[in-house]
Amino acid sequence: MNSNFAMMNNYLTYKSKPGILSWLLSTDHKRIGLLYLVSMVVFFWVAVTLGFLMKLEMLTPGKTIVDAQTYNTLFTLHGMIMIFLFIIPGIPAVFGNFFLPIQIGAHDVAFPRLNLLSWYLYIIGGLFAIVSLFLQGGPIDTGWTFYVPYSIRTTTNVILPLLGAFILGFSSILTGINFITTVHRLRAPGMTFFRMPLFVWALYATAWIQVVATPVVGITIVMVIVERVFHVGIFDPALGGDPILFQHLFWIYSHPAVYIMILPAMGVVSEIIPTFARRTIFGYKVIAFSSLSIALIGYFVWAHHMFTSGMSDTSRMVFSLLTFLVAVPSGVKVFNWVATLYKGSIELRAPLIYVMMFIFLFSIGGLTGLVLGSLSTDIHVTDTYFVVAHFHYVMFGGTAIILFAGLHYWFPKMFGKMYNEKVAIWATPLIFIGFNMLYFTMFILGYLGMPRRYWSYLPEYQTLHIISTVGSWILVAGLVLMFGNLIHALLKGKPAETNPWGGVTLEWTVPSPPPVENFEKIPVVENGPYDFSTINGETNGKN
Amino acid sequence: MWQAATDYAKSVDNVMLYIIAISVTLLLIVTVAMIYFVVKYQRKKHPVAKQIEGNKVLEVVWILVPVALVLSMFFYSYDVFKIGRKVPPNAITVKVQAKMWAWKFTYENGKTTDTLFIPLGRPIKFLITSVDVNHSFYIPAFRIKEDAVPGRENYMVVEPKEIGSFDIACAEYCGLNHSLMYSKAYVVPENEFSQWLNGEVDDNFLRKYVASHTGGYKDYLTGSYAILFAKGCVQCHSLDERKSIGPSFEALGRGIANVSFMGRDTSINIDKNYIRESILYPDLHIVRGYEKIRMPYSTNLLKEEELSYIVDLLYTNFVKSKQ
Ligand code: HEC
Ligand code: HEM
Ligand SMILES: [Cu+2]
Ligand SMILES: [Cu+2]
Repeated sequence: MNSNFAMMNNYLTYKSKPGILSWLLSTDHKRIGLLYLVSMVVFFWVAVTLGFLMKLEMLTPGKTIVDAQTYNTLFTLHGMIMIFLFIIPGIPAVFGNFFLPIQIGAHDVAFPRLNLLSWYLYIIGGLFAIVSLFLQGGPIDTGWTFYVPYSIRTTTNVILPLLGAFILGFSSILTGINFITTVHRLRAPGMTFFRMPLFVWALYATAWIQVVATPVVGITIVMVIVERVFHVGIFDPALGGDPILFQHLFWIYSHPAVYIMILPAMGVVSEIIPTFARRTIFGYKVIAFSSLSIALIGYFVWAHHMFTSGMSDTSRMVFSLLTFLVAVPSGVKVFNWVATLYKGSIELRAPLIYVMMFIFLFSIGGLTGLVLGSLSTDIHVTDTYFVVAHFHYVMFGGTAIILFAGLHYWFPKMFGKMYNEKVAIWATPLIFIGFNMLYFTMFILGYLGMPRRYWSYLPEYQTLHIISTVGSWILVAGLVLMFGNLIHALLKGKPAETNPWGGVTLEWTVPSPPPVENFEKIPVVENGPYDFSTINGETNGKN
Repeated sequence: MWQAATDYAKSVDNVMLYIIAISVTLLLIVTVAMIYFVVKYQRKKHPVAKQIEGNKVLEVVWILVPVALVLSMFFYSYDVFKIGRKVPPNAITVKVQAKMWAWKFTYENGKTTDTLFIPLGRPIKFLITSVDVNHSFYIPAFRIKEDAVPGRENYMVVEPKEIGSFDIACAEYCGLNHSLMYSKAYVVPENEFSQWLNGEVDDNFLRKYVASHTGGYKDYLTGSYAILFAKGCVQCHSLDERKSIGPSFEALGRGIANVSFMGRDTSINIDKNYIRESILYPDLHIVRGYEKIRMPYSTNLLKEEELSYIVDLLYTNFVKSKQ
């Protein structure tokens, strides 16, 4: 690569418009990726603070620091921010935007201006939620699931945050459309579907879910608003509606949404492991197809969230069976990742350590999902702390940890700076220990019968809650260390090389940070995505 | 806290053990293999990786084995579930009505209570509904819950196999006092149950019975404190001298409360009005030593007549009896 070309065109310093506008009005996919990154990190820390306060409240039964109403709004806002503003846009919005075009050898996404619009919708959606906090009636207290009739009857501000979620849905749909088109239309010459990196496959499968499932929640939200404002009976039985209908509609979107959260993370894992093991991924096609099959079967398991809502026993059975089956492709991926380490040439760098942490935590999350898919045990633990533990293992231990892994993996590429790797590694034991203290105790609390969304609890649960709360302190300390290290690197980091880890996907062929146009000349792709033969300096036999 | 008071509950625990045993095995295999590979094939010792693109046999094995495992879990669990859903012909029916934030139980002869009394060894079919928002009728010791949804009648079945008192909780978020929507289920022998149902003995007789069988609270033996249990007060106030989250009700007998009132420390005579205000406006005067944790606002929790009843009860049994 011509270094002169790179210097002049570095996407970070390039000025298209005066001042901050050259960021806020930029249609460059990389800059938009960073806009998302910054806004998501802010939202993440707000929600972490709320979670931290919740755990402080749980230190004692009864009131510790806040009253019941405040607690109820805390978990609602924590859940809404984490779900709608952090983990659903999550990896696709940041790394998808940044690396999808580069990994398939394109100059940008298919619709750059639509891409910027998605970010604005995201911000507007977030602002709606924030504004509602300060209006009369007080912050929303329905839980992030907005179950009716409570969400129709509560006097808190429900409509504005719901509108926010509605707008965020459009942001998600537009990003999905953009990515699908990009993958279909903008692949470089020679980049066949089966030469695409697995991260691209994962984004592609995710984009389909975003486009197909998100409209359902949009419509549902509109129905709740109409019911609240005009008293049209749709869901509230007092008006002649059916509350169970709401739950179906809600989960028809929100279950596939958990795959929107996790599939991109799985894609990132499939990038990081080959790079640090210097070998091709084990079972490329199996991993690619398991993403698609998860996306597909994932549509037909939504009612496992409703095993106690009074569905017929036959539907309960069918949904339980399908839920068990959808667990298999995820398991298969885990086996393939571990097998990719076999006979590799492994360098244990920070991103790989985060990935190993992910494999352990995500496996616990997935395996405890079996307890929830199984009818007899689910009836006991659903809506208890067991579920709270389960989804934190999957969403936090899974997706969020991989977001951190991706941040460490691609940081040198995105910012052209290198972070202090020792500190990055030192943060991992803190995060790991804190995380397990915080959430593993919740599995036990749940099996002992403590329901979720409880401001107060029976005194016999206190010991476990204390352990859990102390865990949250350790975890937050680890997170501060990790983010602090990255911020320090942004300001003071040493310049990064083009290819610090020895990766072979296309982003490692362009300078760090990449030039505006990504490629001086669109590359011609001649081999599969994880061909390490050149890096290893020899063409050792494939088998 | 750890109780399994029906055969069904024990079966559920067995399903749980089965799933957990398999899960722990899988987790160990994955984790150990991962760490072993990372150590064994570190770049220093293994500088050139072997490019293995896959292995058909292995892929088939690790698709089919998990499928078989999850199917076995599914069938085992479903079998247990089915038993739990069957309504035996000799079952008696109890209607459960949830409202923000209390339970109401209606028995076959029309008797109603806010604490649940059920006979030992007889299947009971609960018909569950709600008058306002969603709730969920949850008895952890029986490993069973079912949502209380307005406009619908869901059912669940239990067959208690142990005399005792068990927590009833609300497991579906229902607003302000969701976490205080506790009640108790008392399991008593059929004979005592029918005497009670026919009005020959009262609630306290059954509580006493259960207490003497389980060595429980001595308080059950004396007063009619059911309401303090039903409304969640005993989560924070003990009926004997024990200090808990709040002061013990016994301590009301001291006659004078040392409180901080509008930011100043003073003493107030404990009379009915003081008790009433303590419950209605928990922020008004805070008993010293307890300012960190305040009790919930009860405005929505207690009906006026319940409030008066509690005030009378606390006053008569704890304050006046000491003077
Ligand atoms: C979450 C725990 C909690 C619950 C539940 C609770 N209280 Fe309290 N209560 C307290 C605390 C703490 C205090 C002392 C601080 C204060 O005065 O507000 C207190 C004080 C009182 C006092 C004054 C006691 C004294 O010694 O002066 C009365 C009376 C009282 N509560 C009655 C009730 C009743 C009746 C209920 C059930 C409807 C109830 N409480 C539920 C925590 C609780
Ligand atoms: C330090 C970090 C975190 C802490 C301390 C924390 C703590 C908690 C606690 C205590 C609850 C349960 C509240 C209850 O049921 O009463 C909760 C709920 C929840 N958390 Fe977290 N959490 C953290 C991070 C995350 C992350 C990273 C995500 C998602 C990616 C997340 C998503 C959620 C969701 C969706 C809920 C459910 C909210 C609801 O019930 O409506 N949390 N969290
Ligand atoms: Cu689901
Ligand atoms: Cu409730």
